[in-house]
Formats: sequence, structure tokens, C-alpha cells
Amino acid sequence: MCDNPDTMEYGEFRTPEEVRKIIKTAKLQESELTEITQVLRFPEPAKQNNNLRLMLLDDVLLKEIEAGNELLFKGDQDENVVLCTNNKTYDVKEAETSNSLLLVPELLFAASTGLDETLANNSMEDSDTSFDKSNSSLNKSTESDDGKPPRKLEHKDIINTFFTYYEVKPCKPRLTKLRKLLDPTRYQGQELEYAIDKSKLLNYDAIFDKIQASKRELLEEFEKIQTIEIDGFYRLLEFDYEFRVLSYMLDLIDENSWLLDRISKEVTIDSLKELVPIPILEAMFRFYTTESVLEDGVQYYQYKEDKVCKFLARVLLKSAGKFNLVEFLQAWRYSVPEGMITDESMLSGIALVDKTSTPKVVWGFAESDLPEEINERFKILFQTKPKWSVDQISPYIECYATEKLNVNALLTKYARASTQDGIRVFSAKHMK
Amino acid sequence: MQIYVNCKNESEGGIPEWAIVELQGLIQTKKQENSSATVVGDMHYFNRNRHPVLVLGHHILNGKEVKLEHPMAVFEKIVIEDRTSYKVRAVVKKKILFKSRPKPIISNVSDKV
Repeated sequence: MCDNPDTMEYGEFRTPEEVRKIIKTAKLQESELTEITQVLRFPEPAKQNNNLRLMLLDDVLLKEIEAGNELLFKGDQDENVVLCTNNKTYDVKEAETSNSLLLVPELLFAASTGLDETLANNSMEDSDTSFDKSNSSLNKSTESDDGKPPRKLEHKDIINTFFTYYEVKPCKPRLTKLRKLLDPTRYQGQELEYAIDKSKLLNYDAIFDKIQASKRELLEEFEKIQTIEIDGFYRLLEFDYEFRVLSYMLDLIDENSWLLDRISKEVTIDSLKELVPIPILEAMFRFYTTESVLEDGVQYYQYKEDKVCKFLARVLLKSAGKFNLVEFLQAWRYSVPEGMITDESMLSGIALVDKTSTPKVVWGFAESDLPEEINERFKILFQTKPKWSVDQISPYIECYATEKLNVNALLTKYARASTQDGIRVFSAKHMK
Repeated sequence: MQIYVNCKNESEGGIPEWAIVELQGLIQTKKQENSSATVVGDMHYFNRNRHPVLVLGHHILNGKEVKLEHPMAVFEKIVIEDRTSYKVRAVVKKKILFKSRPKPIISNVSDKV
């Protein structure tokens, strides 16, 4: 687009006179221009920087950068890279443009290039009669430069030209890998520690390095999937071991004749420290209780009823196969500490109930056992049960929902809606 | 794997703001040897409306100062002893956009500088 045979164009610098001539040649009126002309240059190769990249930011990222906070790109060879702040994760994609983006440090915008001083200059010219105007004939323009101060120039280097840039989009942290990383080293009790492959144990740094999530999101997930730091390594509890510890803890309620909202953390940990490592007791207590009352300076706790009941339901449903619903509900009711109330609605996400069969049956069906890939998962879901209400299916597909694509949108995309007895139900998109 | 992005900035006024000059197409120079700097063109602003005008060889381009819909960061890749990291050099919040067709300069031979 720009190639000028004129040799001057290839110089390293412009002089104010040259700029003025070019203004005239281009039939621009200098008086209409602001004070400073910026001469754009390709700098000498040593000053060009090929290591620069452009990335679009949202307001959050801009603030992080302006505050000088650190950011991290994360991802292994086979993963799409993400960008993490301390608490958010962004998808990073490369985008192209057919335009040239010339990156210019220190370029002045209009407001910084000064106001025109033509009026002042004109009055100066009028009074300065002694000035030699013999060369004014060279100027074809009606305007005369004589007596004007030299045009102000600033040379600005184009540090690089870009045709691509990176786009970022807030995304969910990619956390499914975490469970897989921690699965091989599940803690099953001190007596079985010898069987654990020590080379597979992971500390925080090793996990943070492998998981595409921000620090806060990773810590939240640790808590959500109940990860416990034991001797510096992050571990999950094996299901049977978790049941053992929880049973020890719940048994104390009866032993000490505690009210359900007067659980003592101190006594719980003290009574069980010979049986269970303290970090595990502390963590299990945190997972399964909330603060209840503060009495005489002592903090009491209560067990999370929903969580305890759900876990004990999973224990009962653990063996494969279907159970008679009525019998199951009764066994479940007896398995929980006295005073806690089991409810069928708690089974959402862990078990399925078929009330059309005789007798009614229930069977374990856990979200964590389903395939990760969304199409595969929907296939399994609809094979298991042809029609689902939103509430029923939500626990199994929630993990794919994002701010922009909620559970309902997911269902619209991957399932067929219909109405059955006045309730909206979803079935497979393509019936066989 | 993680790659650290350093956003700390030593300069006092905070992170520098750089600009993008956006042109349609590609700038080519006929210059062969590349050891020194090369002037590309002269950019002025009109007093009247603050619009930029770029004289680029035989062409005049009229443009506009545009606030970017999304600001941009300028990252620099730094490799020290096989370890890659990035440093944020600047942010870009505005660009000078020349999107209209360049107009040719029609001049007399005697005007040639």
C-alpha cells in the first residue's frame, strides 16, 4: 500500500522542512493541524520485538494487570491453554485479522499533540517585515511558512506489526482431572498405607501445576470433593474408610448423649485420635458439621443432616442391584443418628427410583460414575431412564452448565422436551 | 504446566499505555537492506475534529481515534535458561483506525521533494 520511489521516504529521520513539504504536497493545510506531527517508523531490526503478543482483556483482567497481580497460563501439551487470575479461569483462543495492527509505544493521541498556534504565528509574521521572502514562490500553497517556527516532530517506532491476537473468555475451571489424579492414592487407613505407590502421591504444587484452575477454584474443589492433606500430600478417602470414620464420629453422639446441635469438636477429636490420624479427623469434622451454638465460650457444632443422610444412603445402595424402595427407606431411616430425618428427595443425584414397577425399586446411580463426555453421558442417562424431569436430571448434568449455558439450555440442546401428566419431561433427542 | 505472567510494573505512572495503528492491508517498503530504521509515514491530527490523517507514500489516509471495545495487553515472551515466562509490557485502550480507502496524492512534478 505504501511504496514511494522517492528516496527520501526511506530515510531514518524526517526533518521539519520535509514534513512541511509533504503536508503541502498532500494538499493539507498546516493551520488545520495540531502542533505535533508524529513520524511513524519501522525501527532498526534490533529494536523490533518479535516476542510480543496481544491479548484482549475483560474488565477483571485489566484491573488485575493494572494492580500488578500475577497471572498464569496453564495447560499441558494436549490441553487448550487457559489463563488464570488468583480466582478466575479464562479460555484462551487465537484470533486473526486481515488488517495490520501496528503497535506503537508512546504514540500521542490527538489531545496530547497541542493546539494549533496559527493565530499567534500569523501575528508574528505580520510584524516581522525584515524576513527574506524570496523563496516564497516555491510554496504553491496560499499559506506561507516563513517566520513560522519549525514544525514539531516526534519519531515513533512501530515495535511490531500483528495479524493475530489472543481472545479470552471466562470459563469453568477444568477440574475433572483432579479426581483422576487423586484416585490411585486414596487413603484406606494406616494399615494399608504400605500398599500405596508413593511415587503417585501429589503435593499442592504438583497438583496446581497439573490442574487448569485458579488457586481459589482449586482450593474450593479440594473442599468439595473432600481432599485431605496428609503428611504434605493431598489425598481422597476411600469410600469404606470414610464410612468407618463417619461411623466412629456419629457413634459418639449416642455414647455422650449429645443433643444434635451440641456436638463437641474437642471431645470428638480427642476420643478418636488413637483410631484415626488427626488431619483426617479435623477434615472430616469440617466436611460433615457446621457451627451451631456458642455457649459459655464453647463453640458447639451440628452434623449436616443432608450430607450425613446422603452418605449413609450411598452406603446402603453401594452393593450393585435394585432394592425394594419401601425396605430401603426403612433401613435408611434406622441407619442415621436418632433425630435426623431421611427424605426421598435427598436421593437426587445419588440414586434413581422407579415407581412404575411392582414393587417400587431404588438403585444407586452416582454422577461421578457417569462418562465425562456430554453426548456419552446423555446417552447413558436416557438408556437408564427414558424420561426425566428437570429436577431429576439436573444433578447429573450440572457440571456442564456455565453462566451462559444453564441446565435448561443444555437440555434444549441435548434432549427433547415433552409434557407428561402436566410435568415437563426430557427424553432422548433421537428416538430409536 | 504453568507459565508465569509478571504484571508488576516498575514505572511510576503504572502500566504504560501504548497505541495500535490499524490499517487495511499490509505496509511494504522497497528498501532492501534492513539494518536501519525506515520512515513509514507522517501522522497529523486535524484541529477541527481531532481526526488523524496519515500520509503514507503517495497516499492519504483519513482515520479516527477509537476506544477499543476490549482493552488489550501487550505480553512479552521471555525465555531464560529454557524457562518461558511472560511480562506485561503495556496495555492498549485506544487505536487509530484507518479503515477508509487511501486517497492518492495528485501532485505536480515540481512538488516532488
